[in-house]
Amino acid sequence: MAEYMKAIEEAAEPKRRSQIGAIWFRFRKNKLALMGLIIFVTLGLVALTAPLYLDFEKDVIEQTISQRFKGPSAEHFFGTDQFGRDIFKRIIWGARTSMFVGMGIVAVSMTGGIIFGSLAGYYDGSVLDNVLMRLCDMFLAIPGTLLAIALVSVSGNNIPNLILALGVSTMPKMARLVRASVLSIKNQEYIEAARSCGTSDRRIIISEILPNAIGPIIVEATLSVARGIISIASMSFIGLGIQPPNPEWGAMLSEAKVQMINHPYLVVAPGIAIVLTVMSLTLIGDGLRDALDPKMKN
Amino acid sequence: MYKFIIKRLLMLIPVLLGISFILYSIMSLTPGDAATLMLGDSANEQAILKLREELGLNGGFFENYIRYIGNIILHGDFGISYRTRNPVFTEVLTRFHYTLRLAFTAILISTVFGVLFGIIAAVKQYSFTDNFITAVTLALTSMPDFWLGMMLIIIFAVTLKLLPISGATSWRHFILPGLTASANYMAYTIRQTRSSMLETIRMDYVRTARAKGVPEGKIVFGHTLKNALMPIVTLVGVNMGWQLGGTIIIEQIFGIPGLGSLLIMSIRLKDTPVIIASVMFVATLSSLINLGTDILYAFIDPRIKSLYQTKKKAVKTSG
Repeated sequence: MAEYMKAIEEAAEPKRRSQIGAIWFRFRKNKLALMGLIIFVTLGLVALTAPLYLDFEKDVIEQTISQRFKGPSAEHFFGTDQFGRDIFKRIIWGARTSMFVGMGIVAVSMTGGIIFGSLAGYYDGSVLDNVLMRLCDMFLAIPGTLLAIALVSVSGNNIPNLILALGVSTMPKMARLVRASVLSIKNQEYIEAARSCGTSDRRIIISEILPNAIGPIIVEATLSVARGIISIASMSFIGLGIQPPNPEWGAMLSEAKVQMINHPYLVVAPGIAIVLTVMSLTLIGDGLRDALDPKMKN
Repeated sequence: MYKFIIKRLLMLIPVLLGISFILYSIMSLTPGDAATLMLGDSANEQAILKLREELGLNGGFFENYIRYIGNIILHGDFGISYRTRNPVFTEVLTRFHYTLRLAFTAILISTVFGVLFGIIAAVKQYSFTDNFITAVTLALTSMPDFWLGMMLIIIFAVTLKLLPISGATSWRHFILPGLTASANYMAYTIRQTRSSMLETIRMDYVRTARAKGVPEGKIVFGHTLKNALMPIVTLVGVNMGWQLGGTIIIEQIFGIPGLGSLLIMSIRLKDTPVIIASVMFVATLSSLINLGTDILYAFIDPRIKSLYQTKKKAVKTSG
């Protein structure tokens, strides 16, 4: 009887969820997205805790000539490379670099994109908006890889410069998205209400518009981490990214390229690591898109 | 319509000027001097000064830039390559046809197979085939293109020995690079085709066609695909622009001497005129293609065409 009463009570007053709770509730229902999250969190934990069970000098970069080109075995899961280094351990260490750089790129492009995009969107039609958007057009007309290559060749390739170069080359896209997002909100009644109360423009943008425009921005940020990981790998692949002997997936593939014909197994594992990470982020991004905006899902 | 086309063409001018300025500033910040690079470290100072003057690099930054742009606008002269000393324009044109061939192969593959698999996925929605196609799509978008290229080389060139590993001398050389370059856009095309097919397949006119007994094949290709074509056309346009500028790394892997290879080499050797000219070339082409896509809309979709017609004409056609 008590159970019955409880069920009635619950039915009468549906469980109240906070906004984040509601988003999580919808996200959880999407099995693919959940799988993506589990894969990404696992990879992230493995990467974060790598120094606990791997020694950078001994396991990752030390060369043992007697062990070179050993195919996959129980001792070396993915075999060893041309310097006798264990590929599995290098991939784990490489995850640290790839994820850190991928997130760094997004941090840069999001900061710039949010500032420029929200200004352009809030003051749309103004001189500022026109200047910013024409600048975006110009940067978007230059192929992204090329812009990053040019910027890196100017500033020299260390990790902060790489993050900055790749972040700047993805910034215009983010700015466009933020602008569109802000534009769709700025004429809503509650913004007008805030304005009629005499709230300053800065405050309206920061505490009224951005929190409501953040949905698509978060989705884009998640997908951008994925693209960032691919672009840092591409940069390393053509020799302008992370430098050897540091393990990074693209750099490993670049070294494997020379040995590709005789030792094809060298190519497989680092690529699968990239695919797995990028795929998990894509699934999370798609899941977030549906969870943040249930109306958009058909 | 003409007004729209002219406006779009005029808007291209500031964008191109901006691109040239951005690239010129970036390249002038790179360490190293073009004249010294060309003559080598041991060259005497006078020869370097003389060459610098010939290249138009003897003034300040703005002076050099304005002279450079002035030559382009007034004489159509893009300067000479610091590396080969040939006119930049011939340098770009001799490389461009490789990139164009690669781009066409990639677009052909991605559009044909993308639309085909998209239709299959939409017609058999939620079936095993549909889920399989979706999974492949996800995998294709998650792959870095250079890795896919290497895997294709290992499978088809090294193991099966069906296709050449690298080079650009016959059409067979373009199959693997074309596949590699098409992968990403094939995935987008599949998704786009699937969703816009699904959207139109639920329309009333499709139901009417079914009700009056039109054969299923004619419904899919005649009634649905025809109306679902719009977003697919946009995608082909965008794809074209991307392929022209985005195959830099793929050209490297397959040893295709196209624009991408030229660009990477030029950046390494600080060959500024070649870099700027090739990027402007690609940017102009992709803007023109985008414009072409927009115009093409009008032909595919009569609703949009009517927007561009003057009121008088619109009345005439409707009446």
